[in-house]
Amino acid sequence: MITPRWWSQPFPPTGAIASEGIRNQLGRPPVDPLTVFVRETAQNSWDARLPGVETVYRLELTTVAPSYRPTWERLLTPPAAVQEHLGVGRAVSTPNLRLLSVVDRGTKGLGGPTRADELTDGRRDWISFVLNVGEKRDTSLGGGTYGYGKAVLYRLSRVGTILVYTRTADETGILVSRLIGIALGRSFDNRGRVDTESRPFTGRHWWGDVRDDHVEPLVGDGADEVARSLGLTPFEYGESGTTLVVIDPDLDDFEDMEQAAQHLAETIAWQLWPIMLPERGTDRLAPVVVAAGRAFPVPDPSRVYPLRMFVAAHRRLPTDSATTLDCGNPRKRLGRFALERSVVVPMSPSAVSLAASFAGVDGDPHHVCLMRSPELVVRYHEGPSTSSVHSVYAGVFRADDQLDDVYAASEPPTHDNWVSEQLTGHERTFVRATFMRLREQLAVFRAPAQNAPSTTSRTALGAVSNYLGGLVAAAFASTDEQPGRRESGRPGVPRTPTSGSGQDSPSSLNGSGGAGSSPATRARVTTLMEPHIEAANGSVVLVARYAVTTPGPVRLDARLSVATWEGREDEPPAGAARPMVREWRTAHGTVTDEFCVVNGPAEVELVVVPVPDTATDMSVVATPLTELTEGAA
Amino acid sequence: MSVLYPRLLGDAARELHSQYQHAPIAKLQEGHALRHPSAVFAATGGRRVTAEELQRLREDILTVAARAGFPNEGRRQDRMDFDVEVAQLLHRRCGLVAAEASVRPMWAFLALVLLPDVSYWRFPRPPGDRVLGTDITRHVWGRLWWRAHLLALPQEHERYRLLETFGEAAFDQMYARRRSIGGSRILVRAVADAWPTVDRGRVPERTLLIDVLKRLSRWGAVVDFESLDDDELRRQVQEAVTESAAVLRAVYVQDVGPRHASDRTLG
Repeated sequence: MITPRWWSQPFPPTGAIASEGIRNQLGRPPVDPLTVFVRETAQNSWDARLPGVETVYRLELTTVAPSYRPTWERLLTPPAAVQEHLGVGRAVSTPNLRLLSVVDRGTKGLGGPTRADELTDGRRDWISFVLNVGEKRDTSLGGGTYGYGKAVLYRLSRVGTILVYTRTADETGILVSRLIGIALGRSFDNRGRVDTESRPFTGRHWWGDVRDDHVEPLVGDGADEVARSLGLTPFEYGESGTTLVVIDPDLDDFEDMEQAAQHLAETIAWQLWPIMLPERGTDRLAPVVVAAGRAFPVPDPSRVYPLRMFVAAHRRLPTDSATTLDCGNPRKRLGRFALERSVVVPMSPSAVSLAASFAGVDGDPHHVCLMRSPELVVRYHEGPSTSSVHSVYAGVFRADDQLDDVYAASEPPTHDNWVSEQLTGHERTFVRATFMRLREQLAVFRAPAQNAPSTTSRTALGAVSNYLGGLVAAAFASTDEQPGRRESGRPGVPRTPTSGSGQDSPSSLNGSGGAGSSPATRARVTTLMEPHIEAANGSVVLVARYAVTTPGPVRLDARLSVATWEGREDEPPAGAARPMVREWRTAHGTVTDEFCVVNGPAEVELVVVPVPDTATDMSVVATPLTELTEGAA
Repeated sequence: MSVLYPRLLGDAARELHSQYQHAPIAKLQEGHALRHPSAVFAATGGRRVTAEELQRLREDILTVAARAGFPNEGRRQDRMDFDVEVAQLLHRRCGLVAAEASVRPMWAFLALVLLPDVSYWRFPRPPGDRVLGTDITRHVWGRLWWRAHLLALPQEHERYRLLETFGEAAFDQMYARRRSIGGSRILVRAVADAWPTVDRGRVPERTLLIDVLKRLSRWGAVVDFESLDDDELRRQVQEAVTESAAVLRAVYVQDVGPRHASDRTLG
């Protein structure tokens, strides 16, 4: 068996890129390395997916177990000559060495030749991932364009070192394992040392089967054996895929591994939701996050607010409610755009997850998610904020497949923006037009300008109360003025005869007149709590609390309508929704009906589903049922 | 400076109306005057209109009326044209501000003292509110001034181009909501601006307008239209108009029976 060793790349006579150059390929330092990490590795896994099976994407945060640690130290300690330039030696000699692994299965692994100077017409995954830098990828409609993003792996490791353990089909279709280590340190020279030949080095190091002037990976059983001795996740029989191990990841921003894992799970939801949706069948990514043996579930994007609004918009893309955005000159289809609006209870700042704010959605959404063919989130483009904190929107813009190359070319190495300045000519116009169209689409939300022209004589205070007071119209509990107005013909529903005597007798209000002799014809309802907005199962509802003071059974009917400029709305516009009773909460459970019967005195809560973008007028009409039973007798 | 007009107070107006109601137009022509013993002016708020100005106003309106067939009955369309023309004339010439124009006895004076012949020609045997000024939105002259006022575009060269957008029946829907939608000039103008672009299909104009106004009224409870800029307002109105038209067109395509055919001719 071959024992793997470290080999450092010397500068060839023709020169080479130094490792600092590779590390800086990402451009500006990432806001959150973990976000870039998740995006980049998931994109790699996604591009390598095999048809017909779900792509498993598992992030594992682990500590090297004490039983494995001696092996790590023995195998990975670099030779003395480069020890000061290769931090991994320090790392493997410390207890509690942390690892962050990306395990993908249902993918094809890194295949192709293991030497960059070998010609091939087939796959070159290995060459472009392990050896070359900045190689153009040929994945059709793939996520990345140039393999620059992998620099984040080295940046994330405090010692700039990763292990790559992959199993892939060779030319004959047989699955073969490969294992190699890669480190990016600083470029250096060893002129100070007497024990070796003095020359400059690029700072790139490989760990594996060292040959004269390059390093081959460990292959086959040799690779599996070393991987097993290091405790890496083994491959099942017939399984292909890749495991990337970041040695000693920089998780200083988090208090512990659990918190980091939680952040990773949320980041996955925010960055990868389009390829996680269940309607994709097997062509989907199945993410898992595990830390110290405990699974951290990835939030379901179609359930959690505010992500589910983006999901809803995304699901509308193929429907009529989405629009196609076009560029006018030259005439070209840019892509599809869909919008989801909602009325919400504003999030408290503490409820905003770190992952969401790194994604750029710092609270309630007023954003458009940009994506192109691979359906990976490019970015959450911030739109104008609405004039009301309760009103939010989430949009999705998906670039047309024909323009995929154009949008891809406008992306920086991290693929998280579209920058028209990177392009020229028509291509530049298309990207600019995209943002212009989006701006137009979102113009309705712009909060009113400060010095808006006003031709009315409203005082400033009046305007404020118009803005705020309109959100929830005041509710007044009223007694039943017109019992006969209710629609008839409901079998089995008790009703109060309109001809009842003593209609206005105040003495009967609290039943003090004696239920037998002077039956109450009116029931009294008072409002205990004015209607207010609540979130229930993720949707917004209006809740008001009433007290029924009349003893005995009382029927409560909700009177709901949209409050309009002209008062209560009698008839809605054609095809428009009306507010509806969601439920009555009584002491004896909830009633999901238009009306409810309680035994007074009692307290009830009326829960109403409002119509978006409207104000709701709600009140309760109470009718005692005692009279009916007695009158009938 | 605003111009003040004589105001003919309630009792005097009702008395004149009962005299004129069944009188022939020739007799009413003799009855016109530039002043009335019971008419009063507001104490302040502008200068008083002169007798010459009233005379000229009367003459101008008579000219327009003559084109529409006055004193003969004339065609319906002619009277529509008369309305549009007089609306502009009144709005441009009278020098009225909205506050003065909402004083009802002022309109009673115009209808019963200055122009009784034309008033009773325009609405033969009218119910009282056409001339008395009990309801400006029904008043023979007052409603025209207000229509022009709501639809005028002060910044544009053709400032009255929106006047012909709506028919009388449709515009009554605006008047009926004068405390809300009808009270917002910019909103009325935005609706008028969007109106010709809408594909109504078989939907009667009045039905469509009512539906649009319902939508705007819903939003009116939570949106201050006056605070939107032109672009946003146009967008909002366009959205309401498009939505109403789309929903109603579908309804009217589904059942085009003879009953609906007759509805259409009415609309």
